[in-house]
Amino acid sequence: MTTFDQFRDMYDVAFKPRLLTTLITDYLPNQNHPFSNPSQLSKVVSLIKTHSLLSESVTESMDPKAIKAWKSSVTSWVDRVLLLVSNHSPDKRWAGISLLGVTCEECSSDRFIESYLMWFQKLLSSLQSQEDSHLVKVAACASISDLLARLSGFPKFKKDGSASAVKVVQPVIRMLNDDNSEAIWEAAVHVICTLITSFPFSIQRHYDSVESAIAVKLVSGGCSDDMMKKLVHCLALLPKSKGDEESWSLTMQKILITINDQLNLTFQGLEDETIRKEFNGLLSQPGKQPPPPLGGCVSTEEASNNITKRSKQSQTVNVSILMSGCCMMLTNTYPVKVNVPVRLLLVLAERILMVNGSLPEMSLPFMTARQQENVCSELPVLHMCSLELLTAIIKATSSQLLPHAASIVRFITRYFKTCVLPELRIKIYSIAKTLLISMGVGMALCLSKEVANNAIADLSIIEKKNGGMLNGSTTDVSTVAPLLVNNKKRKHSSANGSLQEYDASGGLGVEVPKKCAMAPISLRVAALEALETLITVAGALKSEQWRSKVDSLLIVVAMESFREGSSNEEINGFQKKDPAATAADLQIAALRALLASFLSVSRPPYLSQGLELFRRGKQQTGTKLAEFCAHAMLALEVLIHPRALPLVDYIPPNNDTYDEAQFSFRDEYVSRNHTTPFGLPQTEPPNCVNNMFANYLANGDDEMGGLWKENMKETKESSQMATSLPSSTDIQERNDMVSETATNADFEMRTVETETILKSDHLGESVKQIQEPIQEPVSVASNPAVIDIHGDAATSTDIEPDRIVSDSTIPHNEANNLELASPSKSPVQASDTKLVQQFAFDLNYGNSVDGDDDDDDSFPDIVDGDPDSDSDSE
Amino acid sequence: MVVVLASSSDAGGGIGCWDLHTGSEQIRYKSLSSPCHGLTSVGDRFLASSQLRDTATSAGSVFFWSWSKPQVEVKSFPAEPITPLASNHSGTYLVGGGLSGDIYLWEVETGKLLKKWHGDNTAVTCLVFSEDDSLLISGFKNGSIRVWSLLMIFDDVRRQEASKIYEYSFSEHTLCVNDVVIGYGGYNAIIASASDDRTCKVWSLSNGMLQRNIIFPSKIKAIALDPAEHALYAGGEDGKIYIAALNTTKITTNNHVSYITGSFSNHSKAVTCLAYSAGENYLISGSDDGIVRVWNASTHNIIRVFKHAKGPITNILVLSPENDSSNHVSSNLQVASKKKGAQFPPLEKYTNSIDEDSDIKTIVSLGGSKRCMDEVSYLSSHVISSYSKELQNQGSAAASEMEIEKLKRDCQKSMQMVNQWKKMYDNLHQFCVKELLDENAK
Repeated sequence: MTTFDQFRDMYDVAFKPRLLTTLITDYLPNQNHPFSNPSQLSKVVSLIKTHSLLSESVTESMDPKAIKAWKSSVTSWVDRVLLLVSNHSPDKRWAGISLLGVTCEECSSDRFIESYLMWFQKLLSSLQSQEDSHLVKVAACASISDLLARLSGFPKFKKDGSASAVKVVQPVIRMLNDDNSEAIWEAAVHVICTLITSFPFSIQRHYDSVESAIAVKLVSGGCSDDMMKKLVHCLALLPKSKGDEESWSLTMQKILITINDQLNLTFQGLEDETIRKEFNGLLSQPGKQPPPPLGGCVSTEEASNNITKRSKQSQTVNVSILMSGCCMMLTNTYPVKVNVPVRLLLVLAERILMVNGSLPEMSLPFMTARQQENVCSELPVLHMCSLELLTAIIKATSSQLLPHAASIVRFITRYFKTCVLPELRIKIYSIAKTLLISMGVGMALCLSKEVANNAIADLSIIEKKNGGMLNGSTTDVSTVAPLLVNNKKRKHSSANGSLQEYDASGGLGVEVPKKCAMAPISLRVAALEALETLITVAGALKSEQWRSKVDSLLIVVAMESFREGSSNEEINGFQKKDPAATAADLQIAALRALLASFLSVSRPPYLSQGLELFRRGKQQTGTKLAEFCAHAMLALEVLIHPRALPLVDYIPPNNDTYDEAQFSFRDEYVSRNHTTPFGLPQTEPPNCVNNMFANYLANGDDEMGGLWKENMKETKESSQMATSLPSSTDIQERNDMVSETATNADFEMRTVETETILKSDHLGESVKQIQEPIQEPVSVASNPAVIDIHGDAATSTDIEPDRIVSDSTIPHNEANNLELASPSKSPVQASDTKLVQQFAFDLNYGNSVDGDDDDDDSFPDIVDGDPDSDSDSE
Repeated sequence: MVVVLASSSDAGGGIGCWDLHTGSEQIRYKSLSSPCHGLTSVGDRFLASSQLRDTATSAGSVFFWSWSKPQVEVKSFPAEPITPLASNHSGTYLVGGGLSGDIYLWEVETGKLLKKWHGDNTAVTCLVFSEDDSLLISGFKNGSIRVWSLLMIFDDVRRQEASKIYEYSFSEHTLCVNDVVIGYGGYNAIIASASDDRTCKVWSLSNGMLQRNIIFPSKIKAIALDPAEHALYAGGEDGKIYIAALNTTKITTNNHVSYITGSFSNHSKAVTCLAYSAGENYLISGSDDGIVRVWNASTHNIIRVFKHAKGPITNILVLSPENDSSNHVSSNLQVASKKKGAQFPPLEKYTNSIDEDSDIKTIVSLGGSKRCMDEVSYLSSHVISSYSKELQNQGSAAASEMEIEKLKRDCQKSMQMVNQWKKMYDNLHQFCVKELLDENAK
C-alpha cells in the first residue's frame, strides 16, 4: 500500500484492509517488543467492531483487488494473534487469547468454519495448563465460550461441536473446584452456561459434578453477591441440559430443601409453627425418598466449616440467592412442560412474609435481642425475595393461577396493610398490577378497593406536604380543586362526602412540617401505575365508590407534578441524582394514569383541565413527557370527535319490511358514543365523514338539505370558519321548521309533544353546559352562540382546539351534522319518511345531549330514557 | 387459512371443516351427535365436543380430536350428560354445563375436575368466557343468565362468607336462553342473550343492568355480533336472520318499539347457529336443514353454501389454525411425547376428594411453545475492556500477579544479559591482559 493510494470514503472496502494493517503494526504487541500499552487493545477491539474489519463481507460489485487485500490482511491478523497466543510472556498471551475470542465473534463464517478446530485446540491447551496466571485463564474461558457460542450457530457442526465441547467440561469444573479467584469462577460459570444452552449433551455426562461444584460454592458462601447470582443462574439453567421434567423438579426440590434448612435455623422462635409444618409437609412427599442435598455429599465438611465461621447474616443472603434461583427456574424457558409445585412455593413466600420480627410470647426466653436484631435487619431483603417469588409464580402459571389466585389475593390484602417500607410497597403494587392485568375483571372485583385505598393513601401525603411548602403557588390548585368539587356536586347530588375532606386537606394548604413523612417518588410512581392499571382493567366496573375519589386525586396529582417539576428543576439539577425515579417519571406516571381515567369513562369529569395539562406537557420538547403527551392527545381526540364508524360498509337492504330501517342505519353512523374510542382493524374502509357530506350536498333536494346547503354556502363564502357565526337563532329556526313540518304532516300528537319538550330542554341544556367553561380560568369565555359555531365548524374537519376544550357538547353537534348528511345515502321515498328523518334528527339531538350527561352509563344511547326525567335525575 | 367448523345433531354426521376462502372441505371429524354450544376449540390446540348418546346411559361424553386426524383422540365420560362446552382462550381450562344445572371445570393438562358447582336448577344451555377469562357467563333453560367470577368459584373462604357466589343473575328472560355472546371491551363489554321468549336482551357487564330489550317476531335461536358491535344478527326460528341495531336510540313508530333494522333469509328452516368471521366480514349461519351458508355481512348475499348433514347444524366455529402448526416445530421433545400417545388425559368424572392436595402442583409450559431465542453472549471483548484497564494501572491482584510474572521473566532475561556481559567482560579482560602480557614479553 502506497502513501497516496487513497480510498473513496469510510464505507469503501479498500479502507478496511488498510486500517486493519495499521492496527496490526501499530497497536498489537509483537513478538519482540514489550507490550507497553494494554489499554490500547480495547480501542483496537472497538475499531474492529464498528468497522467490522474482520467480517470480510464482500459483494459481487466490489473491486477484487480490494477483496484480496482484505483477505490477506485478515489472514495476517489471525497469524499475529495466534503467534501471540503461543507467546511466553503472560500479558502477550493474554492479549492473544482475548483477541482470538474477538476474532471468533467477528470473523466471517467461512474463515470460522475453516479454522475453528485449530483455534479450539490452541485455546483448550491454554485452558488446561495449570500454571498460567489468572488473567490468562479468564481470557481462555471467555474465548472458548465465544468460540462455542459462535459454533452453536452452525447446525451442521452440532455434532463436532458437542465432541469438542465435552473436552472443555473437565478443565472448567477443575477450575471451579481448585482455583480460588472469583474472576476465574465467573468465567468458568460463563462457559458452563454457554455449554448448557448451546451444547446441552456435553454437560449431561458431567451433570452431577457440575451441580455439586456450583452448589458447594452456593451453600458454603464466601463469594460476592454478584458471583452468587451468577452461580445460581447457572444452577437454574442446569436442568435445561437434560431437558426433562424430572431434573427440573429435582433441582427445584433440592433448592427448596436447602432454603428450608436455612430458614429453620434463621427463623427459630420467630415464626408460626403451623406454617412451618405445612411447608415441611408439602416439601417432603410421603413415600418418597428425599433427594440428596444440594451439592451432594461434598458439602459436608467444607460447608459446615464455612457456616460456623460465618454469621447468620450471610445465611439469609444465601436464602435470598437461592430464592432468586427459584424465580429464575420459573421464569426461564424450558423445553418441556414442568410440574410446578405452586402451593409449596406460595407457602414458602407466605412463610417468610409472615415473619415480621416480633417474638411470639412462647419463645421469649430463647432469643436474645442481638439475635432478633440480626434477623430483623435482614428481613426486608427476604421479604423482597418472597415478593419476587410471588411475581415469578404469577408469571409462570399465567392463566393457570386460578386455583391459587384467591389465596394470593387474600394474602396480598393482608400484607398491604402491614407493609411500610417503600421498596416493598413498590413491589407489592407491581404484583397487584400483574394480577390485575392477567386476571382482569374478576381480579379487579377483589383487589380494587385495596389498591385504590393504598394508592390514595400513598399519594395524598404529597398533597399535604406541598400544600404546606409551596404556599405561594397553591392558588391554582385551590382554585381548581373546589371548582372541581363544585362541578361534581352539582351534577351528582349523590357525590360522597369524602371529596370535601379531600379538598380540605389538599387545596387549602394546611401547614405541615417540612419533615412530614413523604412518600418517595418511586413509591408514588408505583402507586400511580397501579391506579392506572386498575382503571384500565376495571374503570367503570359496578360504578364503585373509589372511582370518583381516584379521578379527582389524579387530576390534582397531575397538576401538582407540573408545578413540582418546574420549581425543582433548577435546584435539583445537580443536587439530586436519583436514577431510580425522578420528578419527570412521576409526571409521566401521573399523566398516564390521568389518560386512563379519561378514556375509561363515558364522560370524564376533568377533561378540560387534563387537555390543558397534556398540551403543556407536549411543549416540553425533547422529553419523554412530550412524547407521551402527544400520544395522549391523539388518544383523547376521539373523545372530542367520537367516531363510530362501522367496520362494515353497510348498504341498507332493499327488501326490508320495516319502515324504520332507513333512518336506523343512519343512526348507526353517528350515535355510537364515547364508549368505543378504538375500533378493531378494519377490512374495508368505511365511508368517511367528508365523503358522506359530499354525497349529501350532491343531492340535497329535501328541505333540510336545502337549508343546510345554504348554510354551508354562507360559511364557505366567508371562508373563515371562526368568524362566520350564524346567529344563535339559527338553530332555533331549524327546530321551528322541523316542528312546523311535523305538525303540518299531521304527525301523531304524542311525538310532537315530545319533540317540543326536547327542543326547549335542549336549549336549556346548552345554556347550562356553556356556563361551566366560564368559571374556568383556562377556557375561552363565550356566549350561547358557541353551539352554533361548533355546529358549523364541525362541518369542516379542521377545528380549533381552543374552543373545544371546555365544551363537551361539540361532538354531538358534529354527530348531528353527520346524521343530517347521511340520509342522502338512502333514497328518500315519501315525504312522510322525510319528516321522520328530520324528526329523528331532533330526537337524537336531544338524546345525545342528555345521554352525555348520563355519566357512568357506557351505553347512553341504549337507555330508553325520557330526556326530561333524565336531566331531572341529575 | 381460515376454516369453518360445523357440527350437527345428526348422529354420524360428524364435524365438517371447510376452508372459508376456497370452499373446499378439509377434513371431517368423526363424531356422534353434538348438542348446541357443545363444540369448542381448546386454545387452538385441539378440538373438543360434548356428545349426546342414547338417553339410556346416565353418563355424558366429551370427545377430543387433534386437528390432523378425523378419529377421536380422547374420550371421556363425565358424570352426567354435558351440553355446552367452553374453554378459556389459552386453552388451559374446559368448562361444561350439565343437564342438572351443574357446571364443571376441568384442567385440560391433567384432566382433573377442579371445580363443580351448582349453577341453577335447570339445564345449562350455553357457556361463554369473558374476554379476560376471569368471568364465565352461563345461560339456563329456565331463562336465567348468571355471571360467575372464576376467582370467586375457587375461593372457598369467600364462597362460604358470601350470600351468592355469582356476580350477576339476570332473570328477565322468561323462556330458555338459546345463545349468549359477549362483546369487546373488557369491563365495558356488553352481553347479548337470545331466548325462546322471542327477545334478545343486551346487558352491561360493568353494572349488570339490562340495556336493551329487542322483541322479535319469532323465537331466536342464535345471535352474533359484528366486530364493531353496530349490529346484532339474530337467527330466528322462522328462518330469517334479523339485524338489530345496537347503538341507536329507541325508535318509536306506530306505538311499537323496535330496533330491528332489517332481515334477510334464504333458509327454509330455522336458523340454529350464527358465527361472524371478522377478517372477511362474513356471517356464517347454520340451519335446521343441515346447510351452512356464508353471507357477505354488508350486502347480505350468499357467498358459499356448505352442505353438511341431514340433521340440524348445532355449532359453527370460525378458526384460523395456523398457530397450531407453529407449535409443532417447537421442540423435538414435544413431538416425542406426542408419539407416545394421547396428548391430554381424559377428563375426570369426579373431584377427587380424598386427594386433598390435588392443586399442589400445576403443569405449566415455561415459554416452551415459543421458540426461545437464546441470546448468544460474547465475552472476550468484555474481558479485554475490563482487564486492559487493570493491566494498565496494575490495579488488581490478578493484574499485579501477571505483572510479577512479567517482571520475573524480565529479571531472568536481564540476568542472562548480565551474565553475557560478564562473560564478554571477562573475555575482554582476558584478551587485554593477554595483549599486555604479550607486549611486555616483547
